[in-house]
Amino acid sequence: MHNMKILLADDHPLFREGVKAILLHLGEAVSVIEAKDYHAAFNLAQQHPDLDLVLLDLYMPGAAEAGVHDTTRGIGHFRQRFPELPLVVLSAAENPDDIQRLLVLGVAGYITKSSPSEVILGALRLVLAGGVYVPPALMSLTRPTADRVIHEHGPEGLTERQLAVLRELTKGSTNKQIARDLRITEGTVKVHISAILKALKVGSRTEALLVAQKMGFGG
Amino acid sequence: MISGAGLARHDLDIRILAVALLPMLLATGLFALYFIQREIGATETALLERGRGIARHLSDATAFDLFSGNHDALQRLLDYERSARDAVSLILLNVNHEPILLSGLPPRSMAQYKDGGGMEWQEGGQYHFFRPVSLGQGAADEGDGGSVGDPFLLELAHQSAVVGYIHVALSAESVQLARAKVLRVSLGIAALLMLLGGLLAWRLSRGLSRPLDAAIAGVRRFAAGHYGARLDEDAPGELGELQRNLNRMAERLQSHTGELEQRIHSATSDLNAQRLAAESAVQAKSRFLAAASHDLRQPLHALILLVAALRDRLPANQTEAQRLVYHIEASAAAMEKMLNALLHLSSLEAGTVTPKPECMALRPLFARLRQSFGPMAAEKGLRLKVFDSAASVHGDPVLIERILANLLTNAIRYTARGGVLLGVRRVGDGRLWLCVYDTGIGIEEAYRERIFEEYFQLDNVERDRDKGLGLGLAIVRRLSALIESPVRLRSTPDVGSCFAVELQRCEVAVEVGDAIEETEQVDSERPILVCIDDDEAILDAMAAVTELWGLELAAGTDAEAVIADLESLGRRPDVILCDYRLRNGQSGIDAIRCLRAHFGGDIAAALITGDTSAESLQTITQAGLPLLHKPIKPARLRAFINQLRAVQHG
Repeated sequence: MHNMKILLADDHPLFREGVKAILLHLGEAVSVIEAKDYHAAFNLAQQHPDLDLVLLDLYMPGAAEAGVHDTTRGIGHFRQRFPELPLVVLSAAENPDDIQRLLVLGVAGYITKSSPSEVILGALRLVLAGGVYVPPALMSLTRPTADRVIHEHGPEGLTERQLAVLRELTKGSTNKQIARDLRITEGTVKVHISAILKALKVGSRTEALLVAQKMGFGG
Repeated sequence: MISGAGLARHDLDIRILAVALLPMLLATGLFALYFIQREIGATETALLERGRGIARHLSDATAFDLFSGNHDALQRLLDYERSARDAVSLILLNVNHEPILLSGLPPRSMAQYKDGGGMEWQEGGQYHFFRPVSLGQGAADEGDGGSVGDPFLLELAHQSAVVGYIHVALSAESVQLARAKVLRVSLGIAALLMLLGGLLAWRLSRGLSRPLDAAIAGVRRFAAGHYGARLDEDAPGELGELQRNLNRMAERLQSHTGELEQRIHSATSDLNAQRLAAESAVQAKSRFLAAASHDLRQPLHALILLVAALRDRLPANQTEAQRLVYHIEASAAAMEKMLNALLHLSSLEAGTVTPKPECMALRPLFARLRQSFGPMAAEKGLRLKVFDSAASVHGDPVLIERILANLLTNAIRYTARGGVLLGVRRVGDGRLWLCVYDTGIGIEEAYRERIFEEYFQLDNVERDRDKGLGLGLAIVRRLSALIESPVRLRSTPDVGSCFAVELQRCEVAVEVGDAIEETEQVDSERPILVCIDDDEAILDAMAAVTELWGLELAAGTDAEAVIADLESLGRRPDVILCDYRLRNGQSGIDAIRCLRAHFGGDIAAALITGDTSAESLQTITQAGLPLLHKPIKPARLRAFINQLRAVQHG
């Protein structure tokens, strides 16, 4: 990914330095914009509408200047103002209640500051790929909106849903039948089938069925 | 109590009455007896005198007439004499003791005259006087005055010249009457005296017993602790003395008790103040520790991250530098662990942790513990065995997990060979023990309490930091106190130990319920994201990410097709994403309007576009729809969808 732009807001300069070192691993040309409080973070987010990621410290001064007094309320405010910005919260505490509230606000991740750099890096990559990250130890304690399972990809890189569609295909079902059985729309079935064809590197349904039989599906 | 007091009072009254009345009764009786005797004696003497007088007079007066035989005169004389008081009958007898003349009734008794001498006797309720009548008797009588009854003289007179005999019978009635009268009077007086004496004694006993009763009641009140009560000091003499002294005693007791209470009160408040001071000191210490460890953690986190960055930058051939960096990392990690434990303990001590108990399934908890502690055990060459349990327990899930995690860490740390086991034991009464067994060094009896103290470690006098800080079990103790589930310990040195947390079972099958809920959600309850676009690459990407994000995709190239599809499934869209330029020159704005018109105007919707012409942007802004630019980055799409849904739900 080129020209990645990340906003990092934390009141500890040393910690910003530490995180910055990790962020530089995310891509070829990562530029990190630093803020030392909420107020600055708001202003910077406004100035840079093309941010790829925002990292906010949960307990940070400057919330009052930004017009908010409650930290999670501050996050909510930020989310409302910049809905399209993927926001990751950094926190020194591991409070399940905080996480619950933040996830409801649509936060893309909650990373504890004590996480090793590899974990932070992995979490940020997950978020950049559209995932939601919560520390595994705290995952069970939230009622998430967070992604519980990162689906294992099946053979040939097919997703679970795609495998289900393929299984239905081998039974000779039509698109309409598949849509009814899997309770998805016909248009979506079409999308899945085209993705399956692409993944199996075949040009037609018949070829796909042959490949599926070789893989040991249905028959 | 009351009847007892009544009895006692009666008892006292009766005693006083008895003491007062008994001697009086005795005295009255004796006096009555004496007076009766005296009165009767006097009456009898008078009667006897009278009888003798009559007899003497007749014996004097009748001698000549008897001698001369003048019976008429004699009869008159007898009749005359009989008119005297009490005279019942007068009989004149001749020398042969034969009655000659009789006046009145015949006497009830006749003497057995043996000789001519005089005699007296009492018989048949009458007094009888018998005298000889003799001539020449008068000289002797005159010479001797009143000594007529002298038997010697009578004998002399009789011997001189007896001409007949006189028998006088007097009624004893007057004596009996007198006796009855005296008896009545005596009894009356005695009764009156008794009455007066009784009244007096009663008054006396009342005067004595009333203050006594009051004193008893007062003492009873004192005994019950009412030292404020006082007796009336109205009684004279010793009783008054008693009342005064009792009051004084009560005063002393009252002041003593007050003093004692005051002392206890001040001692208690002193203790309270000291306790509060100690508590606040502990709290202050805990707050300080919490703040310090929190603040210390910030640069520490930075240090860890910076060292990691440094490590990545080190060329592979700089082995010495890499070794040093590795050691710095290890030290920083150990430091962080200790700070975490310290922070944890101090936050527990500061009382900032409040348990939120619920009915939780053990299976997922055990699975997590197996996952996190399996590698740690394997690293030391130990087996970690976790026995699954279908049970649910009542408790705070976070705190219970922390307790077990600390116990497992501890067990692994102090076990060199063998294994560690986590399992459930039912102990009856709906209670469970969550047990952590190990085959470690075990704990001597003497240390079983001390191991729960802060910074106490077995076999670590040199304070080897690899063995941790010694806070694990202290945290366990505080956590178990917080959730009110005691930790039990059984241990055999050199064989192993077992730590158990006692919890209450609960029957809510959260686990099963959860599972059902989840599968249902996967099948039908996933929110639906409508994506209308003719760009296959976009649709592919949407299919992939929506599956990842737990959404259901409803894809299509135009609004009508999607509406028909959704209608056939009976579902309603939750979020709509629509390309701005659709096939056949249709506009995404129209498609969104169409969907909203069909399913509801409140459905969150946004437009996607690669078109950056000012004209298009203006149209979109006027429609009031949010806009995402192509190429869409997944993170931005996710953030956007999350926000759309959050707004919708909020």
